[in-house]
Amino acid sequence: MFPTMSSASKVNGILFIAMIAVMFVYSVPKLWGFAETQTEAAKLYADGQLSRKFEEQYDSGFFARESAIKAWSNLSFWLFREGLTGVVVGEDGWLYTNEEFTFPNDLDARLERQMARVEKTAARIGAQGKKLIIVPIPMKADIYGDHVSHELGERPALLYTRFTEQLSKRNIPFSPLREAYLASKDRTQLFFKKDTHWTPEGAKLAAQQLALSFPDLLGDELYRTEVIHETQHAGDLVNFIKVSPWLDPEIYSPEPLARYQTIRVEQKTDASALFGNNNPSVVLVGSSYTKMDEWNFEGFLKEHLKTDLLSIAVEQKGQFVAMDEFLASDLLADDSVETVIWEFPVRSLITQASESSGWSSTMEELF
Amino acid sequence: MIFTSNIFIFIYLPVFLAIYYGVKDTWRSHVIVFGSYLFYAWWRPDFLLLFVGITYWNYYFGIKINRLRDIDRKLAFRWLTIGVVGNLATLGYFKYANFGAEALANTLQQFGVNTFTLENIILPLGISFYVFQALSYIVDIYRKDADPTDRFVDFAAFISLFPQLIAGPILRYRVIAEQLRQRVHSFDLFSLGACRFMQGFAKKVLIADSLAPINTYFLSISEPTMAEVWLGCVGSLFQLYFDFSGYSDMAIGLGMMMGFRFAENFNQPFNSMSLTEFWKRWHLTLSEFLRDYVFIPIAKTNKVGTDTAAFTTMFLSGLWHGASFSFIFFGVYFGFFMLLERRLGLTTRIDSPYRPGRHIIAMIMVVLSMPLFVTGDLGHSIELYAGAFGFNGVGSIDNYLYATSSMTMAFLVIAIIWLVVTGVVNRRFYDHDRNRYFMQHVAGWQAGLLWFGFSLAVTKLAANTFSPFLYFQF
Repeated sequence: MFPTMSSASKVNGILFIAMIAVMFVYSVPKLWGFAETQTEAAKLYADGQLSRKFEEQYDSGFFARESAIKAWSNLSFWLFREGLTGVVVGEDGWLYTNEEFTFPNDLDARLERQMARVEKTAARIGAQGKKLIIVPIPMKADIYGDHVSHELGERPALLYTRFTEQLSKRNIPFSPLREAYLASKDRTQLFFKKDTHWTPEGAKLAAQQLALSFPDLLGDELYRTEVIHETQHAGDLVNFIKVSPWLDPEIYSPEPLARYQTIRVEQKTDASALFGNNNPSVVLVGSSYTKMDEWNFEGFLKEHLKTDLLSIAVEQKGQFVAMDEFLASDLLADDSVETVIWEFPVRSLITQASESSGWSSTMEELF
Repeated sequence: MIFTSNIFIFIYLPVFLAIYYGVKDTWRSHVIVFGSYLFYAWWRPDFLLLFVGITYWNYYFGIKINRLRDIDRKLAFRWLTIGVVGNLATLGYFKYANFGAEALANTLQQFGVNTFTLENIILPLGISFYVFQALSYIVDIYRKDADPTDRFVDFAAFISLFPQLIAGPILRYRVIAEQLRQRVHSFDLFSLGACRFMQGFAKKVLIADSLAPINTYFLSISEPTMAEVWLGCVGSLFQLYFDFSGYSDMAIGLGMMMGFRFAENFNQPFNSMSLTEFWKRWHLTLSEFLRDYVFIPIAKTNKVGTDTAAFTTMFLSGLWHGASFSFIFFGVYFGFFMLLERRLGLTTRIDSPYRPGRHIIAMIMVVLSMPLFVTGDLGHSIELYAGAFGFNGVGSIDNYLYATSSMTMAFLVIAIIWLVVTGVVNRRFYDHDRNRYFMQHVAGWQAGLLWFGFSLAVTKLAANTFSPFLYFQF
């Protein structure tokens, strides 16, 4: 004998039947509609894909889906001031990626692994007679950590310092950015409130700092950057917010974004320009901080370095993937390329997964 | 198809029930078989062939064994052996071939021998459950605990009964045989089944799925600290309990809607005061199956003692859970400590007087088994044990809050409250009060509470992405 439900009022049975009957009536047209649109039904059915396809279609069009998402999001926001997993909600409409808050326990090992990769990259580039310069971008939570109630302490600052110290130790040139950012953060907004990326002003400051740190890179071509139009930027972190706007109108308000364009104002006149068979001497490698035109990092770099440059950047895959692309390209062996600038978000140091140790590696350790 | 899906509740179930109650009694087993095959084919139609093959194999052997058991016991035993080997070979191939080949290849690699690879074999859904049920059929017939069914369709219904097809409770033929022939259908039982189904649905969707991020993050932590491992183990254990017991509740409820009374599968395992008691409260149908078909036969041989029989049973229980060394050690872990309990006289029964100290120790021991269970990888388990015992420092649970959410932690608290309340009810029931307990009769405000929980779960299901049952992998 078990203390489980042993009897129930018939009302429960009646209500249950009513519920599934009503929902069945609602579902029939969806089932019919799906059946009429399938062309490869037999083939898809054989390996179970047809049912999966129908379930996905049914669930995505389920009448209560949007309101359910909204209701649970509202509850979570109202109770804990939280968005979906992936975002940390700060004060005054500031949003942060949770990646900047989860410092792994094996940070030392991860840092060591990544430094080894960076060093190897620098060596490969150096072997081709080229110079690698790293632009370490500080974390948003490091520069604007005062807008979040969670106590991050010194960890972001320490991470930046450790990274740059490691670069110095390995004689890899870099353009220090954190101090300049901290000095300017109240005057100019360097990161968007609701985006993981820097603002054009943040990108501009990074370009200025690089030009200041490496005057030998300066060329003699003049570029001018101008605003082509003003627009509104929603921010990628808003994707993790599903609350009703009335709960916090500020959280959805877009931010102003000036779209810049950088154009050459003085034509260089030498033989290479005449025949046009030379690549620029600078290559910029980076992540979405470089890739996305909205920030105009490439343009600001041209303007402040007074030189043309090529750019290899990828979105959503990180700066190492972009660097691998560069290393696999003809540019690595191209004699006209003298300098490689590597835009490097420091937050990636804590998001790179560690190598999992399986059964065999554990046994090796044991015996 | 899974119970916690819109498709199941709003399309499959109403159609099935309408047809089931719309036909004559004599046709209901046919409806069960057809409906269950459709339910299974929703995942992969091609694996139905295996399913039908196992059904027919055991039906045939059942007839053979029944004919011979009174005439020639030895020959009957031979037929039983072939039948059992056939079932276990099928289970072994689909469930353990990859593991065996990988282990062999790794061993050969140590000696520099070129390795081979085995094409990845798909594990058919629910195979561990329906093979065990089929085994119970032929063994029960051989032992004369049951007579074989004279209708193939009844036997096919027993093997394929969709409520428990994928993840149990494991049905025993001798228990269910009479119900297959004749069962009572009543609206009272249907209503009770509906309530039981809703309870299971809420347990799975509202609590188990809400706790899932803890387990996901737990398994991704490098150099985990003591705090992280203990929280991860507790969170994973609760997720597993609410997931699996929720499934069992739904299966039992669906069975009731069809006039069946399935065996209970869980009985407040977190009330246990020893590991021995834990296995009398957790996954009962597996424990009872192993007791009747493994432990007792081994113990009866008189060649080994009951201790060896018990240890072997737990070892096989570990192996049943999964094809990896960590699952084997999971079984060994329980086998070893249960033997120790027996030797030290620390075993307890469901109605033993409450001893808080023993309760705490037993729960710690259960929590400590989790690394072996949730990782499915011995190396990873060892890393987690290192963390659990402080080799990576005490640490904090801050990262859980960022990697999961406060809402997840709130559901962990709700899970604990649920377990405390139901645990107290369970304790009182066995102590003295067997006539009145919470949710004994579902009506009034208790029904309101159940419907509220179910409605919340439906909205959560709509808001969530798909989440499979954890025991689908067994």
